[in-house]
This record gives sequence, structure tokens and C-alpha cells, in this order.
Amino acid sequence: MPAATSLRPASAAWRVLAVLACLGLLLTGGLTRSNDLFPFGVLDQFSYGTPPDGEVVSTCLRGVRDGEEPFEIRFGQRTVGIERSDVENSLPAIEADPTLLAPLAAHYDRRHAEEPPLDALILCQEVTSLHDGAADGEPELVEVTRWERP
Amino acid sequence: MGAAMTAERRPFAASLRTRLRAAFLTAVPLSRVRALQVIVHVMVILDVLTFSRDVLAHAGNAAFYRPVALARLLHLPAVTPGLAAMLLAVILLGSAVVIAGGRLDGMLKRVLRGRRDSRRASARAVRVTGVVVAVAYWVWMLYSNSYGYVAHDHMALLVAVAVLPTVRLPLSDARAGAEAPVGPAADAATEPESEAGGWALRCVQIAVVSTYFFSIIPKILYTGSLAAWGNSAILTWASIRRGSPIAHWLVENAPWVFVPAQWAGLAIEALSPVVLFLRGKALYVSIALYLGFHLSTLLLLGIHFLPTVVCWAAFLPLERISIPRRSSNIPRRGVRETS
Repeated sequence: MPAATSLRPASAAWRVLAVLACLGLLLTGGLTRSNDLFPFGVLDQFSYGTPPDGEVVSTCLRGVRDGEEPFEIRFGQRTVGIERSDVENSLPAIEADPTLLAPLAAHYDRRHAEEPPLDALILCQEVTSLHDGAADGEPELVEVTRWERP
Repeated sequence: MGAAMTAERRPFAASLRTRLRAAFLTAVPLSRVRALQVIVHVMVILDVLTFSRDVLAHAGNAAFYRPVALARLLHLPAVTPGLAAMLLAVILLGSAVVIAGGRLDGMLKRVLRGRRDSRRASARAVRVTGVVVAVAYWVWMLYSNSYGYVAHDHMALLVAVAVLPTVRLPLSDARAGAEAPVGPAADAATEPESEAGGWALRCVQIAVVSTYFFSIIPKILYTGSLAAWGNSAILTWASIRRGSPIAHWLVENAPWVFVPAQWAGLAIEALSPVVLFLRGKALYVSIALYLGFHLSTLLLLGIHFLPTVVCWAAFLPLERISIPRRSSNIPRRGVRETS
């Protein structure tokens, strides 16, 4: 038989209690719908069931330069320095204070130093209507807010 | 009467202790723990360089800083470029040391010149480094998840880096130093097992399973019932927002496939605790099922859940994996515990 190293009662006790405490935190995070207890917060990715006749809202960015048509800018660390999900979770704050978009525009300009800087950055949403769980027509583009270079 | 009640309680308490030990502290071979430690720290390196690399960019997004509870408890300020770079360096160097493991032994032998037991010193150095990596990686992940979006695929990996340094590991195994017999060729009589190692692996297993099981709570709370979620258009929603060409094709041509897929996903999540009690072929088939689930979400939505996927390794008899030796004339030795 292989030699097994046994734990003393106190060592065994704190280990079992630690597991139960973490499970308790996870349960609390789930029941209170709180991400605040990360990494034991609510595991709510894709938990909001979209109604089959509802709509799909997808946040987007559009850049504006003088004399040019607005153009799409993708979210990401290599473009505006932040992911779409981070921005979506801060939408109310950005709507209240559009200058929060300034660092994103600055990041984009640094990445595209050979081009003129952005005159404005538009935070927008593509809204796709659903019918019976399937896309119904083309998405509609809605402007949420915009930051303009002072 | 009091004495009779006490006598009744004793067998109950003993039975409870036995059950808790069986549930959380079943001894496992230390070489299995060591193998998982290497896998986990390779994943940590990959993670900080790719999936959670956003910490470096967050240094320019101080206005978005919304610290989660543990970050507030630790009074962590918004991350700066210098702090992010320092954390990254500590995690990368520390993980490299942990992965190198027993290879430190030779270096320490030269440094210590016989003044101390270099094998014991290197094992201790790796363990202390594991603690440092765990602290730095937790802080890194607190930053990664304090700027709006909170990820749900890192719980098991965070648990793994936290619990693995609690195990005293000998480092004279093939993965660490290419000396000891591990795997099928190992002499079972010399393969040490440990309850502390069993607890660490059980923690990772429970964290993996919890990642699925506890996700059914918000589904019920947000939609009213599991049936409402199962019959919703959530996969259509996800496919339109971030779907691959395959997902977009399904939205256009076969949207009916999503509801059965959602019910299958619910079944996988609700039944996940069963995996903790499976053994042998049933366990391997289950693991293949869950990995297949992640493969399908990767192909359809670009969601890989790799930090969780890697932690499924905690369910496998990793000690049976044979690693090629550096030199065929290295003598085989038994694994010894350092303390």
C-alpha cells in the first residue's frame, strides 16, 4: 500500500470549513444576484432569457472625423483599450457623463497616429427585432451618446 | 439519560467525520497534485498574456474603476501601468519557477554547496513561490474584473492557484526534475499519497462543477423558471451579438435548433454535481461531454471557458501520464516527502 500522509483534525477541520464557506459565498452571490463577491459572485452569463419576440441590443462605437462619413470602430484592447462588455456594464455612467468616452478616443488616436484624430466618438446600439426566436429584418442603429473633442 | 444521549452522539459524530473525510479529504498521489500544479501555472501564464491581459489596458481607464468587494476590502487603488507591469512580472517569473520545480534543485545544490538539504530547500522555495503567484494572480484578476465586466470562467483557476501551495510536494518527479518513477512504471509502494493533496484536488473539482451548477440560480431568478429560460431566445441573442459565421447561418436558416440546445445546456448545468461521484469510464465520458459543450460554444460564439476547461484535469489520474526523460541513464529513485 502506498504511504498516505494524514491530516491532523485541526488541519482537516479548517479545510472542510473553507470549502463550505466558499460554497456559502457562491450561494449568497447567486441569490443576491451580485457580482461584487467575485470570484464567488453570481454566475449570470447568458442568464437573462431573451423573449422570443423581444429584441437584441448590441452596443457599438462609431468614429467621426471632419469631412468623413462616420465609421465603425470595434471594441477591444487593441483599438479603444476596453472591451464591449466593460462599456455595456458602465452605460448609465457614460450616458450621464460622455467624457468617459474621451480615454477610448485617445487610445484609438494613439493606435492610429498616422491619421487625423477623431473629432467625435459615438456610442451607439444596433437593435435587432426578434419574431418567434428568429431575427426579423435588419438591425436599427440608435445613438446613445457622443463625446466631442473640446 | 444524558450519558445515553452522549453515547448516541459519538457514533453520529464519528460517522459525520468519516463522511466528511471521504467527501473532501480522500488521499491522492502527490505526483497527481504536482502534475496539476504544472498545468495550472502554464494556464496562468497563458491567461495573463491573453484572456486577462486587459489589466494592462485598464491602466488607462481609471474612470471605469468599480472595485469588487475583495478589491475594496484590500483598499486596492486603480491599477497603474507600473503596478500592472510589476504584477505581470511576478506572475510570469513565479509561475516559471513553480513549473521548473525540481530543476531548481541543481541550482540550489551549487548555491548551498552542501550546507543544507538542497532538495528540501527547493521544494520550500517552490511552495513559497506558489503562494506569491497566488496572491499576485488574485490581485491581477481583481483588477481584470473591476472595470465593468465580471468574468465567470476563472473561479476554478483562482481556487486552484490558491489551494495548490497548501500541499507539501516532493519535487523529485519526472515533471519536476526527471528523476523519479511516476506513471504506470512507478512502484505503487513508493508513490506517496496525501489527504492535503486530495483536499486541494477536491476543491478544484468542486469549483469546476459549481461553475455550472450555480449558474442555474440566476437563470431562475432572472426569467422566473428554468422552463422560461430554456424556451427563450437567448442563443439567438448571443449569436446575433457575437456569433461565428456558423451561428449566423443557424440564425438565418435553422433558429429552431436553439431551444433544444438551451435545454441540453440546462441539463448539463443542473446535473453537474453528479460528476463528483463518478469513477472510471462514466467519469471520462462525462468529462468528454462537458468539453464537447465548450467546443460547441467556442465554434458558435467564440466562448472558450479555457480556464475552467483546463481545471477539468483535476478529475484525471494525471500521475499516469509519462513524461520523456531528459537522459536515459538517470537512475530511478522513489519519491520522498520533504516533510
